[in-house]
Amino acid sequence: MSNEKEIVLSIKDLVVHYEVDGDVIKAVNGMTIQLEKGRTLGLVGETGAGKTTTALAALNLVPDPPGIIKNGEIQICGKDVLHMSQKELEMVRGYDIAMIFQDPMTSLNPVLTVGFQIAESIRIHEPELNSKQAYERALDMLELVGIDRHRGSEYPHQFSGGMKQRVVIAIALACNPHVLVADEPTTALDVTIQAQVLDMMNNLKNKFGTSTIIITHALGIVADICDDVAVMYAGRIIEQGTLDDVFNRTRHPYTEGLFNSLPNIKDRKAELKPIPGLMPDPANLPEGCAFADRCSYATDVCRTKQPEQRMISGTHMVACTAYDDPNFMIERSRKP
Amino acid sequence: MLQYIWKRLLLLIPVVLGVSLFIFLAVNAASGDYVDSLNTDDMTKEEIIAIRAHYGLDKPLLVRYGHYMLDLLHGNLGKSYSTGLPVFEMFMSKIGNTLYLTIGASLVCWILAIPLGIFAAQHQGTIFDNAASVLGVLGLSIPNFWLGLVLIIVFAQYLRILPSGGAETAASVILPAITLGTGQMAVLMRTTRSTMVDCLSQDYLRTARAKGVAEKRVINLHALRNALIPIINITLTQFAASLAGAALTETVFSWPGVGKMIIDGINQRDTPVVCGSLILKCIIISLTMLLIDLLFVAVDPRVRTSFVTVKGGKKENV
Repeated sequence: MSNEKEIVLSIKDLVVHYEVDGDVIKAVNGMTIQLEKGRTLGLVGETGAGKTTTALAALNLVPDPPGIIKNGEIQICGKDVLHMSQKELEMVRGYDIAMIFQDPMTSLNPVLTVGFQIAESIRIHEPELNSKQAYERALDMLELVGIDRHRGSEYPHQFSGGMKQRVVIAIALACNPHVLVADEPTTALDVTIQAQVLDMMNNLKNKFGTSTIIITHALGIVADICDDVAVMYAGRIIEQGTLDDVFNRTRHPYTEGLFNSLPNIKDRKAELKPIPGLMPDPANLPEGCAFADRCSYATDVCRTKQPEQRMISGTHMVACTAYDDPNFMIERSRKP
Repeated sequence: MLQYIWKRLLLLIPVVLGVSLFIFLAVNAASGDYVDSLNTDDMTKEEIIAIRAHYGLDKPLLVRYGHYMLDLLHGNLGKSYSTGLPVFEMFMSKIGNTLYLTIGASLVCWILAIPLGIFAAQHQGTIFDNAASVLGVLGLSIPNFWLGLVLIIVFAQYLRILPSGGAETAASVILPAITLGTGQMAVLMRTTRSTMVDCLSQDYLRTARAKGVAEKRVINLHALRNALIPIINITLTQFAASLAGAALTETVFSWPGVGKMIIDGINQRDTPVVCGSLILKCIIISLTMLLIDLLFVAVDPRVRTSFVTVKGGKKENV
């Protein structure tokens, strides 16, 4: 990607393993990704692809034990997150980078008021405010996410799921972070509430100019709000580019499989074409391409050789050995 | 809320009735009566019969229970056979000592068990955790009276730094408090550990860390506030239980408390003392349980809202 743009989050060669009872679970295996200022990046992939681990690593929050960051470099606004003291890390978390978690039901502390939980973040990062001012700011945040400010003194169990997620978003945005990581922010919500919450998140993001990574497996959400897309499989990025690149000029067989798994409203008699098989056990990854066993284009080379990342345009990257043959095309791109 | 407290207090009446019946029957089921426990060698048969008649011991069990309950309804717990003093007065003169010992024991227990439990939870699966578990099991399995005797031998007999019994000096409470506290410590430590382990894996701690909250505050505020609910439950239940059950420790250290008074009462078949003390203890325990429930309301907002919904000042009971 072009260098003149400001990079707010840069992850380079990240390797994260979980070591459980002698097994090594290779969750993230050499992941490189950059987020430009003001852009929204969709990180797509199925369960277990390493999306959440990557997000947690960005805040240096990978639970240790059992998680170990083996290798890599993560910079947020030029600050090296992996080589910081605990104190410095606390100043970065919530201020430079904030995270929205998947399940709002369990993400809020049940015995503290929501106002307190929002204000806590403000008090840590803006110590010049006294506790009353911080609390007032917290109530402003509540209003911003569409909750009446007098509900600040209420507890999480008095809110519905969608409302709780709004509170979680208010906590994350309380100090106007440079980078926001949203880990499947709507997965646990009803469809109608999903749209509301996404819409609100999108508005706030545009209002504050927050650079965002949205982790999801819903391609609809990606098409809706992302500028860039990175597709993740077995701990690696296998295709990355602008929304247009990935959606309209799909290159990787796995990405093609993701699109084929979506129902087509125009052809309602068409059968769904799910990707056969399961993602390989991250404790026991194959030597070659991790997708080879499920890939209809796979050759013997795929099973022995780790695919290289190749740039096929200024913004579009794909990691697939099949493109060693200059004439190779996936089915999706053969169609007019 | 007030209505709830009243309801709970009214419930005390059937509890006291049930407990008194049970205790009265249990004491009478034991062989012999007060007169048998006296030295009757130089008494004539007539004198013995007269004593029995004086205390009403010659009447059938049901009649005696009836008399006892009638007195109880008037708030009269009767007089001790052996001392002739009103049981209520005797109890009140001893309960202070028992309370003193129980508070001492609870302090020993809390100061050791809660930090140990938190520490073990934080270092789950490590050698510290195992060491704390061993300590806990040890504390649980050592019989009170044995530990009491060992402490007396070491500190009173060999080192001669602490008194072996009685309640004459302020230092007298140390050994019985350690003895009583050790047994409770194990249970409280295990509870603290397991609830903290549970709380430490909760998602909301991750949310707190992601906000930039310092690790110390994550543990001491975010996790502990949640773990407090079961911890308070155990501590106060134990407090109530040791108010009631310090008898062994009190006996070993000749601590002039209620426990010792009851044991002496049982040995002398002094029915009014045993019954009266146990009924009073029963009331104290019930009140402590009520206090626990009220504390829950203070600590756990989820319980609080089930009593009162603040919106528009409307109150509703669920």
